[in-house]
Order: sequence, then C-alpha cells, then structure tokens
Amino acid sequence: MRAGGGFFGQYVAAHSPVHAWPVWLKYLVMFAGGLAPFLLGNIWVSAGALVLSVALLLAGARLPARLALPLPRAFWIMMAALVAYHCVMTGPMRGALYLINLLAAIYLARLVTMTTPINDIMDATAAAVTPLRCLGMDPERIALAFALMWRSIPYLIGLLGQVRDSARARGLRGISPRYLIPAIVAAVGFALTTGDALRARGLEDR
Amino acid sequence: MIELHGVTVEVDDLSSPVRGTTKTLLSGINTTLGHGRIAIIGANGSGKSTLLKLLNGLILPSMGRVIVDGMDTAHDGKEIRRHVGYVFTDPLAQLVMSTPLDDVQLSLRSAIKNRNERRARALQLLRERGLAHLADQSIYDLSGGERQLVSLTTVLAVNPAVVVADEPTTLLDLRNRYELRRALANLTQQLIVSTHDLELAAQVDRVLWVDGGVIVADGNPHDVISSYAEAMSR
Repeated sequence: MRAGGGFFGQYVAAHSPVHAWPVWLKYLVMFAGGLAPFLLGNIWVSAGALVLSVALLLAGARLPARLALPLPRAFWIMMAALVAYHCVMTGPMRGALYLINLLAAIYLARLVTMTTPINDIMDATAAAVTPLRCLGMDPERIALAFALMWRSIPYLIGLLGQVRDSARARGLRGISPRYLIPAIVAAVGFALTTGDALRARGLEDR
Repeated sequence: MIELHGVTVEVDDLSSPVRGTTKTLLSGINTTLGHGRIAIIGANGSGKSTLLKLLNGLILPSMGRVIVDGMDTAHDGKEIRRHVGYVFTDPLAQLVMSTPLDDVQLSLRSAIKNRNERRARALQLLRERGLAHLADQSIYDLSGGERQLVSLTTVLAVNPAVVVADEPTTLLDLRNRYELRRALANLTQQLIVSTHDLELAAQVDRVLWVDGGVIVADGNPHDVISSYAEAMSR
C-alpha cells in the first residue's frame, strides 16, 4: 500500500539552507510562526505567517510546489464548512483568519517533516527528554515511540483511503462508518506487525 | 549452533467453540541447526514460520527448550536477538522508517551514537549492497526486491552471526528473486531460510521438510527436495 503523505508531508532529501538548520531552530520557527497568529488574532500577522511558511518551503527549503503545497481534499471540505459557519455566526473575517492560521500552521509543520530526516528528529527528541531519565524513562524509547507515531500517521490515513477504494471497487458509494471497521482491523494488524518487527530487530530490548 | 530440545508450540484454538482448546503448531521437535546453510520447506501452515520464530525468541516454546550458542531463548532473548537476525517475508512489515537510510540508521542507533558517523556507516552499508542511490527514497517507491535487500541490510547492519529468513523470495518477481538469491548466497553468516522456492532450497547444505508441525525429512537438498516434490504432486 502506498502511504499517503497526509497533512504533514514526508521527508524530501535536498541541499538547502533550511535542510541544514538545526532541528531546534525548525521547531522554534514552527511553534512561533504557528502559535503567534492564533494568539494575536490579527489578519496581517496571519497573512505574514502564511507568506513566511510558503516562502520557507519553496525558497528556503527549495521544495517543489507540487510536493510542498497541495493539501488533501478532506482538509478543504472541512475548511469550507468552518468558514461557512463563521461567516454566518461571527463574520467572514473570523472565518478567513482561521483558514489562514491553519494553513500557516500546517505548512510550518511540513517545514519540519519535509526537511528533517526522522533519525535527526529522534536524536533531538531523545536529547530533549533526557531529563526524564531520572524518572526511570528511557529517552531512546520515547524517541522511537515518537518516530513510530510520526511514521504511522500517513500510513493510517493511507489505510482509510485503501478501504474506501475497496468499497468503491465493490460498487459502494458515499462515506459510511462501516468503512471504519476494516480500517481499524488493518490498523491493529499494522501495530502487531510493527511490534514483531521491533522485537525481531532487538529494538524493543534496549 | 542452535539446538531444539523437545520443542512443542501450542496456541489457543480460537476457531474452536470449546474454550481452552489448544492447537499444536509444532510437536516434539528435536534437532540441531549447526553451521552451514539450512533451508526449511513445507506446505503452507506446516509450521515453517513458527519454527523460524523460535530461533530468535520471537515466540517461546510451550514445552522444550531452544538453545542458541548456549543461551536459552526463554531467558536470554535480548542477547539472542543480537545474535540472530530475522528477515520477514514482507519487507514492509520489517521496515519501520520511511527511507532506507533512516531504517539502516535505526538499526545502528544503539551501536553508533554519533549522528554523522551513524549516517556514514548506514550509507556505506547501503553502498555495499548497491542500494546507495535509493538511500533517501520512500520505501513505498522501491520495488519488492529492493525493499527485501534493504531489509537484509538493516539486519546485517548489527552484524548477526546467524540470519534467519522467512520466505524472503515469496513476494518477488523472477528478476528480484534471482537478485535476492545471489545476496543470500554471498552471506558470510549462517543462513536458515524457510521457503517455497525450491531453487533457493537447492543452493543450501541441508534441507528440513516440515509437515503438520513435525520434521518429516532432514538431509541433503537433492534427496529431501525430491521426496517433497513427489509428495506434493500426488
């Protein structure tokens, strides 16, 4: 099964200034640029964050627009509903603000995932949670769990797509909660297989 | 050297309406898997994969003992898994990271702490298998054969003494099958492989035929494969 890149994209190897940034700097940009527009509620700050995120992806990280910018259709459907709700309840400006803020946050998250190899994210996570060692936690295990979670999100999104395609192949149309059951079964199977793989490779034993 | 002493594997029989009923997957296996290359053949459901999973402690016997170079899988699983690498049938089940380079680095994490050294070593290992050009590609964009070679590389990265491979050529087309056979033939480690690929089985030093959870034949490849092929064609 081809796993979808989903909202957050997948790592793209390249030699660019952003690829060379340390992981902490990427996280700082992501949190600052992603949170500030939500906290300030100013359209110009939001627009600035969106322009900055797109500029960093395309010019800073030198990622092709066809990889860096497209978002799943489900996102746009959800956004259309959200904007419509705000247009009716609180005014169009509020709706636009939400849309722009979310776009900026997603693109800044992509800046991290698309320019950072997962091993670098694991190193940074392990370093960041090292103080938890005094509570008996193993930073390497936490980093591995984090990396597996990161890897599993697009896989699970891909699973839903696969189940929907299977339903379509049988002539079933529309969205039904029934699709969730085979997706959940497949997700449990994926978790068990991943557990076996980790154990077989001795990664659980650390 | 791997020794199996009276190994039986039983699991709960979930298809039985009677609670507590068990199903026997392997029964009273006694054998020594010494040095050399060994293939395990048998029909689907015969117990091949169960037998292989015992060898690195992925499953534990219900009765009997599995001893790997003096260590018991029931107590020394951690050490044994360092010693015995395991290649799955489906490489996508084995590769847990999104690119070959990341996955090989994951294998090396506990051995090499320095990030740059780890990356360089992972690249070197991929280069040795002719996979360096795929280092940063998504594992989903690789062919079945490439994925299986990457899986093998992730296993070999930690330098195991024994490589156990569970039907490694089953999902591959003919070209990839030849390529993987060549890779397995060039291993310096002891190889224990379960397979339906009788050409692969013919390349090894010793073949075990498993049927109904017991070893029904054990000997040189020519004799065992001939008996097996004859039995299957009846």
